[in-house]
Amino acid sequence: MDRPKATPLVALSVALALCAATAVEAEGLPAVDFEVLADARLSVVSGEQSWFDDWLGKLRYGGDRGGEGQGRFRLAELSLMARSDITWDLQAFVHAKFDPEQDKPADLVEAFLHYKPVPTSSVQYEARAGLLFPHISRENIGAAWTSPFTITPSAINSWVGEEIRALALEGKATLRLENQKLSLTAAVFGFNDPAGSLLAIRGWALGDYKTGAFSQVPLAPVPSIQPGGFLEDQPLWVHPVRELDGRPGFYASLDWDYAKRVKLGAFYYDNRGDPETFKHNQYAWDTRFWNFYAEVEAPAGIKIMSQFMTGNTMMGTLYDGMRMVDADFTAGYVMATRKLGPHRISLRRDWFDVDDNTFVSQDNNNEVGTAWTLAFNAKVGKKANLIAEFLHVDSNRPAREGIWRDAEQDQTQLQVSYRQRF
Amino acid sequence: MKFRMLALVFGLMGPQVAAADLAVEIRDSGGQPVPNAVVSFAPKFTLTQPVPASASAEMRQEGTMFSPFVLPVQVGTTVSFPNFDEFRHQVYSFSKPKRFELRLYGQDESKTIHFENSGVVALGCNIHDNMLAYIYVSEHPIVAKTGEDGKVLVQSLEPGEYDIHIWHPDLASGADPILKSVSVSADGRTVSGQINLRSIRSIQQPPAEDDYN
Repeated sequence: MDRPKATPLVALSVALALCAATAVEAEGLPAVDFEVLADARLSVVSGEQSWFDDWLGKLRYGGDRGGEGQGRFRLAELSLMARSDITWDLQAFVHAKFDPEQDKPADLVEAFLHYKPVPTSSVQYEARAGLLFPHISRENIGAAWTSPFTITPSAINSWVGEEIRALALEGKATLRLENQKLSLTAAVFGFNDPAGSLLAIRGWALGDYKTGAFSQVPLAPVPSIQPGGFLEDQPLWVHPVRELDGRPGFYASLDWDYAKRVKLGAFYYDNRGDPETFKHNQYAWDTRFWNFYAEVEAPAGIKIMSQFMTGNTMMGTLYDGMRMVDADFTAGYVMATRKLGPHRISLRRDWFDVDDNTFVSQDNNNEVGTAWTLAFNAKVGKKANLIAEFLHVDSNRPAREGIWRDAEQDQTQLQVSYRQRF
Repeated sequence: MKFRMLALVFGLMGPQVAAADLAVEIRDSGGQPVPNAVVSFAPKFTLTQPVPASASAEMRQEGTMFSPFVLPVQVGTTVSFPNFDEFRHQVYSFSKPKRFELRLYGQDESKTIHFENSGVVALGCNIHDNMLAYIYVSEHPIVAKTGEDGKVLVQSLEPGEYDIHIWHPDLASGADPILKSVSVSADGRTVSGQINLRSIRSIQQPPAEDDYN
């Protein structure tokens, strides 16, 4: 297995940490602030094996090989976040993580500089540079890119955590009017060429795993990516954070906030991958998508949140004018959430779909599915939360027949998560 | 939606013949009290006794919030900005009467700003987006602010005629309600006024519980 070359990212993160540490002493600012998030997880789940066990299960944890339910008690995540104020306007942020699924003992989730000078008019400018999550997820607003609403993010944001990361240069301008805020964000980025592999070959999933920058994630051994298969060059893994074709991508978004009661936004991403580039055992995937969101403060303290994502990914050479893989993907969710004192209850409905446009008889990537998620997040200490979650997912994926399972599968999962921050 | 603000000005018998206490009550059209309304008094005569100017005032940073939300001061006042939080605040304003940036490193650190021009100074914190407050710098010698009950008692006013200016963060733009020629005397009277407020109120929200970045 070809291990990725980590040099540029390691150099970046070390440089960030060093310049942070030295500048801090000169300014007399607080030294580097560290924060740790530990997540202990009890899970009971029915149905097929997880995709982490080289299968096509939709959840982070799955049943055993015979489809029998499984219970587990695990450390789901240990995240270390470091923030340092280099100057009053410039902050460095690094997030590194350990978890059992990750194929490196520790890996980098984000490492970037954030420049935000004090506004001198009603337009404020800011910039971020480094390895970062574009602001797509409306759910992952908690410490270490967790969701305070549920343990498991929606299908959309599960995928963002798995495959979307950008080594980006991002600028943002925010116009503040009396009760409104309008923001325009634009970025150029690299190191996200394989993004889209999981959506095509595995499909959508629901899980809170975030892929580290140097880590690979597994693909189920479906016949098309086996030796002699239609896509035999594709290994049984993906390393999402890689530059392969030397072509920068871009993303841009427009966000509107009306008196914190209504929030609307549109985001567009194009990694401008060259679908014919194959390097380091990885294809560059040409992945483009829109993400839209709406958040409304409804009566009775209920907040309604919704995201809708639609896009396309392509990979491989052209045959008769058709790409080896050409798949449209769409997903959405609607969530109702309400605070109950310091606690929170959330109910979410997910829909997801992949439409394979080419060579379906050799390599069927079609999929359709839905999920229900109900979670109660109890604040049990100043920096401690206990979250209980019920999740049921139904999906139909004909590719399962290639690994001797029925296309139609469902899974029910109960999880209890104890999140402690230090 | 338009809200009506009703200002009731009661002149009450003062402790001395030469001074009166004035209770001001401000409500909206639904009868709800309006807190954080600034009332400033412009005398239409020459005050015989100079009003002692409040030389200092305080805008605290505490629990990732500004306190108070509205601070009325007179022109020439020096406002101190003490930080009661264990972390930094970067307080700024780009309002015309006073543009400034204050860097407050940590707990118990305090810095001051002198306000020499009248007008509304909106405050923000560059680090904590939720923080919001207003300093109303008045050119008038007497300023007061309504409490949670929409009332304020202005003590020891010199009897005579005043224009009473009312300001609130949610005043519809352009509106500058004035209760004209209010006569303050020992036997008291009632004055009512009507102003328009924006339907969406500016509020300073508490900080989000665990912001990622």
